Formats: sequence, structure tokens, C-alpha cells
Amino acid sequence: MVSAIIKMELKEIIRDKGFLTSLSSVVIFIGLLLFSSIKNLAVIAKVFTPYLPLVIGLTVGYGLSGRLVREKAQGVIESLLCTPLRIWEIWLAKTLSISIISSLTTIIISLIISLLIEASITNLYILYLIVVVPIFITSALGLLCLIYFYLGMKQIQAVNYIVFFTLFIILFMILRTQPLVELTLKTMFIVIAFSIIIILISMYIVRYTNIESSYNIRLNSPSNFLILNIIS
Amino acid sequence: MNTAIEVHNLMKEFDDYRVLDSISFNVYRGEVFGYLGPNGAGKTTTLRILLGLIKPTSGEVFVLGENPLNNSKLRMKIGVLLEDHGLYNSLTVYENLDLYARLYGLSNSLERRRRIIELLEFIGLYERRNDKVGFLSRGMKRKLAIVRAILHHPEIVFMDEPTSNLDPKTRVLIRDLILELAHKENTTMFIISHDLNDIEKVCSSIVILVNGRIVARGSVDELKRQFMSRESSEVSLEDVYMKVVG
Repeated sequence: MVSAIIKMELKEIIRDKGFLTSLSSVVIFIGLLLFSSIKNLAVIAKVFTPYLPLVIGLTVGYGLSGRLVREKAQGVIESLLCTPLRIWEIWLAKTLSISIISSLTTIIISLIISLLIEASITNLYILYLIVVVPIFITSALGLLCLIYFYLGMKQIQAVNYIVFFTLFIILFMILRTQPLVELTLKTMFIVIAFSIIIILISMYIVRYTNIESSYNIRLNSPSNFLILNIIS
Repeated sequence: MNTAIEVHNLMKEFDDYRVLDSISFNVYRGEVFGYLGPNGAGKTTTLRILLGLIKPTSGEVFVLGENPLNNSKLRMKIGVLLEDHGLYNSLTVYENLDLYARLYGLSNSLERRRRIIELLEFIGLYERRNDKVGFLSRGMKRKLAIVRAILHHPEIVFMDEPTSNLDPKTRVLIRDLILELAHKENTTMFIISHDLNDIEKVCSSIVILVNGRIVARGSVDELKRQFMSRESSEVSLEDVYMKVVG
């Protein structure tokens, strides 16, 4: 049943204009970055190689996850909750479908950029792109979908601003403090382990939290704020 | 008579606000049951509790003899039409139905296709089967959502405003469908509606809810006798409703 939803979700996402919007925002962002640093492409290649796929994936996924908010408002989630599907299955299907599209987009764009700036594409980098990046993206988007599932519309708006600014603050902090992170098997293992823990925690929360808070009944209920605080 | 839905002393509070206050009623198998009341009376909250989407604060609810909360097996036997159609706008009419047919366990693709086509022809959407739902009118979306609710031959169908946004011809079609499902397939129909004309024509039993409390119950004729002094043929359900609701 989960695979049936994933299949249809993928069709929906590809036909949806939201996908093109998120894709355009990534292309504009990358274009500006490359254009503004055209004299220092070698430096950019070194500094941004590990971070760029994550930024691309999260930006595309963040744009796509807005669908979940729309579906919640239009009653799609509630209709799915009335079927034999369990809530964690719906969450999983939504998270995976968004993550699959985001990961594929990320891999393609990252490879194109690497070719454009003539960065060396090592085996380790390929491994990073096809294993680490998708798992990281899935964990982050799973968390975001979880937040969207359990919060009311007003709270979601607030979370959107927080997520958006936090992402960029974290990115720039990392670039200032630790600009040169070398891709090693050890760093990749740490990222994978961290991501899997996040996925498991999200799944646990979805599985064992009361279904009632999953749609917008109690906009300002203390339980919703509690969940928000826990996962923040 | 076999009971399809049992509700005993149901109470629901959101924070300090009591939405439902000691509600009790039974719905029997094959019955067309009308659940009426003004906006904010607690109809949709009752529906959500019956569907197992929210927990009651106190009281007991049984649907087909089972507790509906987190009950996936029970949902296989239930069809639902909610106030919001909840369809995927970027998918076609056929794809939407195909997805829900799969979710409701119609695994045989030929059987699934046959059932979908049969219902689309019945409701008059067959020609639009390859159109995206986003391009359909509100009424067409409503029709599609009705078809989705009965795809899997459910034992109980919950319908919230089944005839809203429908043209007069389709209204009659839906009324006939409701009666046919109840009489021929013994499907229990739980209907929430503000259209008292439709309710009067199809429902064998009615409950009227005001501010979370049941203020009237019985068949249409019983309600007319109970609340109106004139002959029952001279008054409509609307007259009764206006008197009861105030």
C-alpha cells in the first residue's frame, strides 16, 4: 500500500508546478554563486563540494514539502487517514516520495556543477552523492514532514521561517568556522549514523503519538507545542 | 435488528470547550441515518470520532462492533465522503480512483478497472476519466469523491454533505444511489447534511443535534408528530427543524 502511494505521489510531484519552482530557485541560487565567484572556481570547488549537494537537496525538498501543507488544508491527508493506511505509512510514503525526487535532482545538479567548475569527481564523491546525501535528505525531510503533520497552519508558518533561516545560518556558520571539510569514509559514516537516528526518532514519534494531533484540530494545543519543542 | 453503530454517552472536549455532551444513539444495518444540526453543533466531531480519527473524552463508540480508534481492518469496511473532497488535483480522475481502490484492497487490476469504469459511467464522469481533477468543477469533484467512498463495497458509508454543489439531476441520482445501496446491498448510510429536502426523502431515522446535545430523534413522521400540531402531510422536515433548532 505504501508503494502505491509513493508511485502516485511521484506522478503528482512531477506534474506539479511546485517542483519547477523549487528547481528554478536552486538553479538561480547556484547560478548566482558561480557567477559571483567566477575568478575563484577552484576555491569554490574545494569549499563547497561537501555542502553543495546538501543545500541543493534541502532547498528542493523544502519546496516540495510545501505540498504536504497544501494537502493538509485540502483534506487529502484526512481522506488518506480514513483508508486502512496507518499514519506512519502515510508519513513514510510522503517523506520517501519527496526525498526520491530531491535526491535525484541533487545528484544530477551536483554532477553538472562539478563538471562546470572542473572539480575532480572521485569515487568517494560518487559514494557521497548516491548514499550519504539521499539518507541525509530523507532524514531532514522526514523531520520536516513530521512537523507539518503534527502542527496547525499558523504554527507551520512560524516553523517555515525558522527552518529557512536556520538552514542558512548553519550553512554560513559552518563555512566560517570549518570551510574545508575533507570527505572521508569516517565523516560519511558519522553523517549516515546521525541521519538514521533522526529517521528512527521521527518514525517512533509518528507511530506512537496520538493520531488526533496529526491534523489541524487544536491549533494552539499544548501537546502540539510539546512535540515541536521535542523535535526542535 | 443488527446494530452497525453504537454510541453511548459520548463526550468530547477541546481544551475547556465541550463540543459533544452525553450523546447516545444507535444506527442499524441497512438504515439511512440522518445526522442534522446547525453549524458548530458537533456533527463533524462525531463523524471524526466514529472514523477513529480522534479520541472521545469519555463514552464509548462501536462501529460494526469494534472500537474505531487506530483500527485499520475496520476502515476496510468503511467508505467516507468528507466535507473537503481530498482528491489529488494533479492526478487524473481514473488515477485518483485507482489509488484508493488499491488502498482499499482491490488488488486485482482487472476487477479494479471494471469497478472504476462501472461507477464512472453511472455518475457520468467516464468521458472525463483522463482529465486532471484540478480541471473539474466543484460538483464533479463531489461526484468523484462519492464514487471513491463506495468503490470497495463498504458495509457503512459516512457522507458529509453528499449533495452540496450538485446539480438537481445529480442530486436525484445520488439520492437514488443512497437508497439503492441501503435497500439492495444492506449498506448502512450515515449522512450529515443541511439539505433537509434530501434528508426527508432518503433517511429512515434522524437525530438533530444542537450545541453538542441531541434535541430530537426518530423517523421523519415521528418528528413531525412530536413537534408539530398540524397533520404530518402538511409540514416538512424543515418546519420541524426550524422549531427544534429555534
